[in-house]
Amino acid sequence: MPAAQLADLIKRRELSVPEAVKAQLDAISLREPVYKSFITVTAEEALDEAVKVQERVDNGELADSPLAGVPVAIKDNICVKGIRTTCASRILEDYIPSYDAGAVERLKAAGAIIIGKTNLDEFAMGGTTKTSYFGTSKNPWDPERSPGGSSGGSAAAVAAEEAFAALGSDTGGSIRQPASYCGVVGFKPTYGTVSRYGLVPFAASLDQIGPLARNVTDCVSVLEVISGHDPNDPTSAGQERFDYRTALTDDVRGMRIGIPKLYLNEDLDNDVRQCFMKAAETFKSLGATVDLMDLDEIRYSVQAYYVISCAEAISNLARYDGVRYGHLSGDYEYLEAIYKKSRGEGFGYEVKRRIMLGAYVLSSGNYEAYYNKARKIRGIISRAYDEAFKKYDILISPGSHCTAPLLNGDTSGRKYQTAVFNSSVNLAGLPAVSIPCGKDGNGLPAGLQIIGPRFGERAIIRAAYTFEKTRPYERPKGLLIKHNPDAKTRAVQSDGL
Amino acid sequence: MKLSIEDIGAISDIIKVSLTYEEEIKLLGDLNRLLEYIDEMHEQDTEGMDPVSNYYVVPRIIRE
Repeated sequence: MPAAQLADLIKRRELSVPEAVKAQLDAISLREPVYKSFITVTAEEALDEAVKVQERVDNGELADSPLAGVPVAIKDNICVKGIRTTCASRILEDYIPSYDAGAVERLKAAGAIIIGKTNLDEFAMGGTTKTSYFGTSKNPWDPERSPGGSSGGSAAAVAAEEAFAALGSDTGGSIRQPASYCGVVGFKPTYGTVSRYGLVPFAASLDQIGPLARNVTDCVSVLEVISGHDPNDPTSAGQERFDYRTALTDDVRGMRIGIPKLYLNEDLDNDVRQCFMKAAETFKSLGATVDLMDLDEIRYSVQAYYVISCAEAISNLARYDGVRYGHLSGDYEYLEAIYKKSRGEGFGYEVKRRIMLGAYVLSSGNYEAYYNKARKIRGIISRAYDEAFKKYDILISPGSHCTAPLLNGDTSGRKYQTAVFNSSVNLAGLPAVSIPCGKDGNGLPAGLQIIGPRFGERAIIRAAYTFEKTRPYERPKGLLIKHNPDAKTRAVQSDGL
Repeated sequence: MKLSIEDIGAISDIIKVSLTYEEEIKLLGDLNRLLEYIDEMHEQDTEGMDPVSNYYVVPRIIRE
């Protein structure tokens, strides 16, 4: 059932909010042992909140809300007041924020129910959830496969129907890649559209919060609720609120769509390439024009992304010293050792690797050669996209270069977890969505990415909504369904438990 | 190789993170490989470009 339908049932009083929340918690307790989407399930808080939201429904306060009583999950690097927010790191294992993130505040105001905090790669650094201190999440399409990352827990929770929608964060593809692996819709809005207040920063000039949901309409509803100006975030766009739902129109006639050739030079899986080419054909048959085009200026996006994101990460992660924030080591002899030991024990290997690189590219001999070079390339990439959007309304690419990989598989062939078509979007601050566009030979979903110009969400929504009409949502095969002991046994066995 | 094992020790001192010997060895390989990859970006001509943090200048909102 889509979120919009649930909200309607609740508003028509055919279902109470506590009933909806209890049903959701039941599904979580059935499926969570297999998929491990969550770090924290907030059952008690959700049931308390359900009673309050029911009162607001009863007095008509939420008549216009598309999320009245809808259970949603929040990536565990986004602060929820009074709920442990770990960033999947040992260093923040016990951190309890004293305030709500801007996006969370807006969700609560719209009557959404926070059902839990989802797993991620430590500090959102990774593409598998394998670097999480709290264990790896599993892909609901096949529990032996990765849900992707870093918002892997959010994508898995939505695909496994453990939540109707979820918030993720995207620094270099962290919403779009897991959405693609899990066969759901994931939206990374224009930089500045959604407040970053309360999002634990990884690379502040690239990070952006966005929604994941099972269809375009639900995803857009959540985006509309969480977007808009927030005085607590100085990079937040000035616009008070955004109107996205009216862009849900089933028509792409006359739309100009570009496919940068460079996107297709990437190391793409054959099946992914085929699904993508079919999607391009679909747009053509629906009346859009689709052209291959040059965009060679974005060639070094991944390199520039690594330099800039790691350089920003080192200052953002400086605050975790065991004193102001975080895990405090018991084993030290002098002040400096407190910091070194606490951070050494608190951070996992991937975080250490990235902040080491950040320190290197910012050091005095390398600042110009690496950091400033990457920032110049960033300017070139942004300008190139600007030029492209003078000719095209949207650009399309695969959502990820492959479908969900095996968790115990060898991924060394693909050294870097982000693709040119994912990371360049963050460098230029553009909006992009990933929506399901078919399946590979193993029956795993492939994603289609639609990129728009800055604040061009409406063009993306129109294209995504129209495309979705040709390919309605499919739930994962073998998803654990209540009262079906056979399916349960099967999935549990394949998980190796 | 851009980085030596001594460099790894020096950087970890700067960022105040203690490393085990195994981590140092692994980082030595990983970071050198990563830098080799990143160095490909030097093929891009950036003559005349200014370094940018955010290409689009969002008008800053000042408190009244």
